[in-house]
Amino acid sequence: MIRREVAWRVFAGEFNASTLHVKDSEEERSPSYVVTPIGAMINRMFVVGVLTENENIGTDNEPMWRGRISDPTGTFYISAGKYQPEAASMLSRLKVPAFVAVIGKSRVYSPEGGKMYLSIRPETIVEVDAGIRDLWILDTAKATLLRMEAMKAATTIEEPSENALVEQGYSPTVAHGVMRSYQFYGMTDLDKYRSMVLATLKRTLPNTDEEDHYVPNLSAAEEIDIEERPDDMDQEDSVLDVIEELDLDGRGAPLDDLISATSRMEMDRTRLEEVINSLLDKGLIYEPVLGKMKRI
Amino acid sequence: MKKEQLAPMAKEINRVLKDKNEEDILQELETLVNEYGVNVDDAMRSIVRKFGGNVGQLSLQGGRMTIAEITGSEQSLDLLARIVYISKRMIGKDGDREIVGGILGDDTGTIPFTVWEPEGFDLEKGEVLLIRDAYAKEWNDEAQVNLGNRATWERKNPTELPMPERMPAQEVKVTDLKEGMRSVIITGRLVDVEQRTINLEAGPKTVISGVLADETGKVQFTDWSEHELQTGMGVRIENAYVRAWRGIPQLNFGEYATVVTDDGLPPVTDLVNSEPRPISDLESSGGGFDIVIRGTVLEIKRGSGLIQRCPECHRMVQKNECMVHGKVEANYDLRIKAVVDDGTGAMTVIMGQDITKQLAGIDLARAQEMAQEAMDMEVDQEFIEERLIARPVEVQGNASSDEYGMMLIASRTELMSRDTMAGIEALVAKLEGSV
Repeated sequence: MIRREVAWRVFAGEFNASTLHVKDSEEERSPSYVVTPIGAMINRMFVVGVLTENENIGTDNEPMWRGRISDPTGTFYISAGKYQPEAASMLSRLKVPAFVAVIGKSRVYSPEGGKMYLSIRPETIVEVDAGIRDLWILDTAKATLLRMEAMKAATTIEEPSENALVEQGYSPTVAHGVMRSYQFYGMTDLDKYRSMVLATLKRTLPNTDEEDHYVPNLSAAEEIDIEERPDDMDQEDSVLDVIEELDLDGRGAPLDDLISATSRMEMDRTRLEEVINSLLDKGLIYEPVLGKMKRI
Repeated sequence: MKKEQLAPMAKEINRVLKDKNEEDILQELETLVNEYGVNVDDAMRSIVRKFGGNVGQLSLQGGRMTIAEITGSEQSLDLLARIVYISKRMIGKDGDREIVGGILGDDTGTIPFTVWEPEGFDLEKGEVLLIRDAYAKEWNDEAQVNLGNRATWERKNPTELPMPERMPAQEVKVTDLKEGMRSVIITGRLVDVEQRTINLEAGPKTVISGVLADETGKVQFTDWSEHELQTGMGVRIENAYVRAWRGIPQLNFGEYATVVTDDGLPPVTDLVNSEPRPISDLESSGGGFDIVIRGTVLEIKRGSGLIQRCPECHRMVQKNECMVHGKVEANYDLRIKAVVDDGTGAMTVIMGQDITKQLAGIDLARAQEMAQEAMDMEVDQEFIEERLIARPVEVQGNASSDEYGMMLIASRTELMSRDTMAGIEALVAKLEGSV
């Protein structure tokens, strides 16, 4: 059964404190996950916050929209380019500040050893009201506390394992994430997260004093100011799409057409050949006759 | 392979060949297996053939199974098992043909069995036997072992299969039911009971089916041997088993089950309002009958909004062209295919015209108008997206699963109005109280 990746509810403070990026299997194109210090293992995520900035750092023809979304614990960075046309168009239309809900995939950019820049690649962005934001804070607080409880359970069990956690009543998904997290980060300072959740909840309640609700900054990541290049996967996906489009007679897409189509995507011939070779290796396309590529 | 491991196989060869020197056979077997790398079954066959024996009589390693491995489609299987229950029955047109039936057990589970030609079959409850060349079939949706005219059996020393008399029965609640469970004990109230006739290969058969509820949920059941059941009755059923249809666990029980009334249960009305279940739970049980989930709408899938259906088969069509019926005058319909995610898991929820109207505030006529004005059927999908994405919903219906994932056909969907502030206050109080 194909299991749709669950959308994790996490606060920015927890997400940005992550320093572990994993793949669940060695298989090509298997999903990747950002593992947080308290057991969220995030491929897809659902966040609601305030859009405070949006700008197009690309060109008019080739837009790349960036946005910052704040929750009470920190900032989520989102970016949407030509591969996320709906989200990019939505980002271009929104006036800041605005409450928005974002459903998207966790993204990691690590230009050099050790450093990780975390962001969200949105699948969907919608404008919402304050009620939806408050509800998200409540649900996210509950989800966070549940994972903290599971982390704590993992430290009190003599030989912690996924099965042991499931036996204690945690879902297999939570148990799996918590064990991955525990093995990498060891015991996280849960009190820090407990204060973060409590302060966030209190700030959300109407008519409470602001002063003692300082939300600690737990972020490990640095702000992103590096322009991203679409990575290999993106290029492979778009070449696959183009092959399908150009395959008019069902006998494959002619290589010449492919070269001219991809040159418009700023992909030179050498790069195109690399991508094609990679797709051939992965068994995603084949060459039915010389000079034609067909999607499998 | 070591000589000690090959010895019982040499013995088996000798059982078929009779009166050969076992040491010689072992020698030959060892040569084939260890020097030439022939697999054990092939080696055994070739030795039997060489001496003119009947290969069909050989009990090969590949054929030996445990009860848990039996799927119900085995044409030939060998089994070492204990008789857990046994009785004689008369069948046939005039009820003059005797067969023997019962339950076999090993340390992996139990399974019903039938001996079709029981002449000389004098085993009793508790005895252990080695069955060769039996076959397995599904009967009343459950795998069964059959001893036909090809089968042979042999009494074994009970110490060869140490196990309890009967598999420990599992006392479970409705939400614990999972495909493949056997020896299930369950207590619940029958909220729906009906008699129906189904057509089996052997001819029509009357069964009783319906819905059983306990405080955790509801499950459809089939009673294959017409116990005295009535709507509203509280019952305790022992020795039931579970089969799944599209992932939805269903309770089955037949002649080896006992059904007794149990009146210590709340009335039906208190049992039919199911509590919401986490989607992760439904993922592990494969589905559920008439369940409730609460989650957030995260996606409105393609094929939502205004769609066209073939008037013949109601399949979705595009440009009046049905995959099966060709050119058709398609009907318009309105529906929503949404992804609902509760943080533990996600599933696709299908909602029909009425629910779409109530949830998104758009009816078929308005949807058609909008599509005409925009000259684009997708405007309706966008309209629905704007109204539903990121909204909390409560959904009721049957959740099933197939290779594409989990799906729920909604009988009811409601936008939830949740008292968020009360929830936050309660959580704050709990956190501050626990310092």
